[in-house]
Amino acid sequence: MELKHIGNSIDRIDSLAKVTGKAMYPQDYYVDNMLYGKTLRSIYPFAKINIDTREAQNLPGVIRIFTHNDVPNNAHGVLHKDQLVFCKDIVRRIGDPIAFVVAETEKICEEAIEKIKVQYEIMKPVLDPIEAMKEDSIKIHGDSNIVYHFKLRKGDALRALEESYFVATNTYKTHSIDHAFLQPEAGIGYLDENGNIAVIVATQYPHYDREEIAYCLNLPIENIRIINSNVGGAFGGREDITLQVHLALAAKTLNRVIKCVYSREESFLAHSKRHAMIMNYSTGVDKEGYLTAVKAEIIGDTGAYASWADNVLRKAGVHATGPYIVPNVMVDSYAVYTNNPYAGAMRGFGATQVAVAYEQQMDILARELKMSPVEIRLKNILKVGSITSTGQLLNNSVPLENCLRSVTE
Amino acid sequence: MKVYKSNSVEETLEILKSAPKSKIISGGTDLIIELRNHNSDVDYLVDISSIEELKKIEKVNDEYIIGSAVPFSDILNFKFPDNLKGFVNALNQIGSPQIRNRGTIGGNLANASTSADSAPVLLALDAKVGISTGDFEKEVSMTDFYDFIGEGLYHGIITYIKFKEIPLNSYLSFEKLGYRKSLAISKLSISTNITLNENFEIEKIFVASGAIGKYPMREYEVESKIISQPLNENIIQLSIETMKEIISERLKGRSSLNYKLSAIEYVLRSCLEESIQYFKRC
Amino acid sequence: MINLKINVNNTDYEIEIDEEKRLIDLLRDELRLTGVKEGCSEGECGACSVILDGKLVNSCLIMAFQVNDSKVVTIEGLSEGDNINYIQKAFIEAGAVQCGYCTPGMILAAKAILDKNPNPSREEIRMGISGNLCRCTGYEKIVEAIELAGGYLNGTKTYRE
Repeated sequence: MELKHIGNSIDRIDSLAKVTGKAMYPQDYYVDNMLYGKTLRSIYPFAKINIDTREAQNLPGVIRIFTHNDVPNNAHGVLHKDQLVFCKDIVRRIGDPIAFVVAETEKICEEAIEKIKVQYEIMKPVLDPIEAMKEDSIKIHGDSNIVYHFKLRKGDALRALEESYFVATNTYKTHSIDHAFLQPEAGIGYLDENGNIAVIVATQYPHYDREEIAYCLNLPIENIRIINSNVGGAFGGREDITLQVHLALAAKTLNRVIKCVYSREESFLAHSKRHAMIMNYSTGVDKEGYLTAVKAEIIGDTGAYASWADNVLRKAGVHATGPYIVPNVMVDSYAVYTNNPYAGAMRGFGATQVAVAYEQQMDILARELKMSPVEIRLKNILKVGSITSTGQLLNNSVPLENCLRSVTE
Repeated sequence: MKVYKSNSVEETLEILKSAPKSKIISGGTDLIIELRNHNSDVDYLVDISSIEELKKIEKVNDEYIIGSAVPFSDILNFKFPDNLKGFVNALNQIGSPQIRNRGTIGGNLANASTSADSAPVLLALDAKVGISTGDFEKEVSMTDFYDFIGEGLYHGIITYIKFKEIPLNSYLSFEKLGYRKSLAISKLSISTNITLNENFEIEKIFVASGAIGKYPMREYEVESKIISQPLNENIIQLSIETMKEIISERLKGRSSLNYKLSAIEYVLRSCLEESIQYFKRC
Repeated sequence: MINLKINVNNTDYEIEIDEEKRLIDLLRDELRLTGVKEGCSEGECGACSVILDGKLVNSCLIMAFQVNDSKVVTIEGLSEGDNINYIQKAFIEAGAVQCGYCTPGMILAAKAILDKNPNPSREEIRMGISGNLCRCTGYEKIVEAIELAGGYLNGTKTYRE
């Protein structure tokens, strides 16, 4: 049988549009008489605020300045509705949106932003997730900074560590990373011919964006359209709302076409980051080099907002022992609020950070046992028939050994 | 803001004199970013990128004369002898192809950045910089250049840069450390220009650094310690030790100190070893 | 406002434009050549690359008034309708296009490389695209595409059926 697609390289359906420059991203839409929008953002990580927009509002060319007063349900977030469309009393991170200026030109928007008076009563920010976990720490939201705690237990890890021939105990830290997708956020908001709110945006989740806008503006979801343009890279960074509600609100209120384009700098401020993690690992091994136990505590700094923190830290916990057979496992992973830039989805979703820890642990154990790094891995890797740390029986297709052998040949 | 595309040096100088908040633009690869960040108080931009007399590159007798508005890529299209490889290397590592197609050698000096990649090689070549203002024309040695212009060159323009070819028993090298290969601002750079006598002793030496002081500068202390010495491993060691002492003093209390102390080992060694390789080939 | 004469993609224009506008603003906002992409506004990403008087440049780092009497080629100038040029073909065929935002600048960087040398080494290609960031591909397929385009140009490769 001849297969049409499998085994063949197929041109991307949009590649012709992309090589000719015809592919449209939100910033590429131009409409006659459109207005421009620009966001005023917090310059402090933690502060009480008071906003006065009167002078800015009187600037010629300014159409409207939107603040928390204009949003019926001022809350959004993919898992926890802990983000505000516009901050009201408190800003929790640098870059928190405070107001959205709509004006005739981008330049007027910038001038108006300068004229909005924000009084900041600066509070001491919580920047260290370990500090943030303490009971007496200042709370960023609610009564605990711990957003999420995932526990994984298999066998008796504490006893197995005690009985191990050797235990490597180390702390690993990974830092926050920006996706730096090449196309900065941009969007167009307008009312379509049926009076529905339409937002052209580059997004990973048009359906979530729609729900969030409907909730924030207190409108039936049928009245919201999200038109996903070409997306200039995302890598997880476009899973949360940035300018979607701002544009929808402005379009609905003004019945005009509003365009908003972030600069690279604003893009960095606006979207999530990869979770920085602190990983405390104890990995035990027997004389022959077989793993006996892993005890891991993983602390993920989710910054000012949770975004996908639960899923990311769950995934970090699930993958904490890597592709290795470990009979005794005790993992605790935590997502913790701080006043740092907020963290969310980024390629690997928490599985990436823990590899830094468990792989270095393997190298350290190999050195201690005077064994090659490949040999210790071959002894411990998951194979068909192995049971993972979360109890899954792998009954087919685990080609790890082939992979390791072929790269070392 | 007013803008003007100037046709001559004379005309440019008149504008600079009459408009106090005017500024020269040529390649614009730094200035436009500054303007957009509102870091520059400018109400009149004068473009010199089309002034023919500033766009020439030529060799007259034993001297290379490069107009200040010549983009790096045009300089790189000019053929330089093998022993000026450091000059070519320095220019090749500036920015990216796009930046080298616009950025000019005059602009690289005029904004007085300590990381300017062309500065250490020009210092090591003992280059001269032609400067014109409405009131005078002057040729300033690279070693005096930064003191001369202070924080930046106002109300005057650089018209040319010139340096002499170096004899066959001389070699110019350049090495820089940046965080990546392209579009990397120098964290530390060194250029050496060494002349050996027939006994393979250092007859003449210029050592210049970038990014370890307020401006790129000559490192006279290293020069005086190794002059008349044979160019060998001991001298490499001595040069590195001396530079480390200089850097420790100059960057005292800076967070970058330790980083630069270990960086200098590689950067300076690489310059001197490349020179040794050249002399071995000769 | 100032008046400019400029030739873009073989068409002459006379344009009135604000003194503070850059070349990228002229191309995108005035001429609606939106294949010119803005990624960083400071010459780091190369998405706004165009060919100005035969040279690859960042259109975000040139003031509009500086290009009076110049000739500019943007990505829109490489094709006519669906009739695309050899570099564009190679990019499609080699799978060098993903999100597409770097693609126009990358193709113009490729043109600058191949206009100089139809047979560039991989190292020369890497150097030639070193002012263009891509966050999707890891560059490998872009380098392959430029090699393939070089093959079309020097006759060692023929277009796919």
